[in-house]
Amino acid sequence: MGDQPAIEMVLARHGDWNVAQVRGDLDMATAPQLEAAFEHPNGQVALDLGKVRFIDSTGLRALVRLRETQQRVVLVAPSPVVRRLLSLTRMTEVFSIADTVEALDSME
Amino acid sequence: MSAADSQVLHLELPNDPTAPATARRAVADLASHLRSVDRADLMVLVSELIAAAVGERRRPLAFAIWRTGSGFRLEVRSGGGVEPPDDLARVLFDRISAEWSVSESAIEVVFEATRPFEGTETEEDLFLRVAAGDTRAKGELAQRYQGFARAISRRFGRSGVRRDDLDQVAQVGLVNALARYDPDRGVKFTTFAARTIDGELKRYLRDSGWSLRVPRGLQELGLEAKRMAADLTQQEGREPSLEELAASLDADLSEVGQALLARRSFDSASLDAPVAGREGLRLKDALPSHDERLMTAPEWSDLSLVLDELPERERRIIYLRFFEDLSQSEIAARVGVSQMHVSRLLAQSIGLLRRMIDPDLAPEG
Repeated sequence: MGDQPAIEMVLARHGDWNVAQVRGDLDMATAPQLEAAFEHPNGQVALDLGKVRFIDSTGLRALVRLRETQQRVVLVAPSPVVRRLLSLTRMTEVFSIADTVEALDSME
Repeated sequence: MSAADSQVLHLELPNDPTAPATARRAVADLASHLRSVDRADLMVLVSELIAAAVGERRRPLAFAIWRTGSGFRLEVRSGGGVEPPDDLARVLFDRISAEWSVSESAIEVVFEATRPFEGTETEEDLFLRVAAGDTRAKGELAQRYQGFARAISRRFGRSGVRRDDLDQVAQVGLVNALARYDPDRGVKFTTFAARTIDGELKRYLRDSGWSLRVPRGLQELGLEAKRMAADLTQQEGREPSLEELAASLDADLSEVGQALLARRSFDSASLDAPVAGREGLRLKDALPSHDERLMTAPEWSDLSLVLDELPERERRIIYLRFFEDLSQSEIAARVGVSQMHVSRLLAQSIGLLRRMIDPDLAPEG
């Protein structure tokens, strides 16, 4: 059955934010895990995507869906591959992006 | 497919969600010599392609990569058919394809990129040989950087010039860059070529039309600035300075200036009913028209200084074309003249404006 899905998530709290540090590849094998981690809607979610090595449209779609179910979603320090995909799909204009987890504090 | 095509990868993949990752790993080994940004794009293409083929019927997928004369071809076959890509995947395909010259065949899911996948020579070698006058090496590099040139021409996509014309001009720029590039100077080729191609495109636009684009957001900012100026005027009993206005709006000084200039130029033109009078607020006075701080957008601020010289209808047409980004036929419908006439008036006005801004330009024709 192929290889194990390559994704790791570390969940933490930072102030009012639920922070998930995501590590690995976000594709059709792993995106459901990301969504499952935020089953409860209407939270403030910060996704630290600095360690994401790969993302495709399935991964991106998971982010978009989270944005729809959560009160707020901020992407933290997206890695170059994530940035590339966001800009290819013009999603940079849709998502809030923070440089660091600490920068979340100064977001209104 | 021609006889010269050779297969460089063939994989049988399980029809399940792990298939994309398995395919990407195999491709990563093959593509290790590509620039990292290209490798990342290739990975996305591979992943989208395989993900689209993973489906209900659970038949194994066959994934193959062929080297072709001009590039490579990715091929996925599945017994269960392939899902049409959704919007997001579609956008990704289109955007990456535009940079990579990817073509899509209707029958099989086959992508063929004209970017070389497995080059045998390093770029350094090729550049050295170009410098020594090797035309074949020049052709090879021209092909490798075709997508690069096209990506630069895309930046001028809203200039009103046809895309394929722009692409052609960009290719000319690329060829010029290859002819003039000197690897010994220590400048990266992409830096040098980007400058040359950009220059070529700008020259072309200057000679053949008008390059002008009002950034999106400027319209809203202009509106906000106008409202804020009215509020501040009421509060303070005088018109705010540009600095005060920018501070109140929490916006960049030159942006606010541009936005106001944009509004001012089009204030009467943008109203649906023809209005001769100016705003009572005299924003014109609040904003020195030759403020050097506005020079960050020379084309735009220059233009707004001379727009007033145009007759009402011509000004409105320019507004609709460049500010509202309407097509000529849409403008024709709004203004109530034929599209041909709009085209003629646009050309005339643009010519007139260009000569007003730059008197050195020779008259048309």
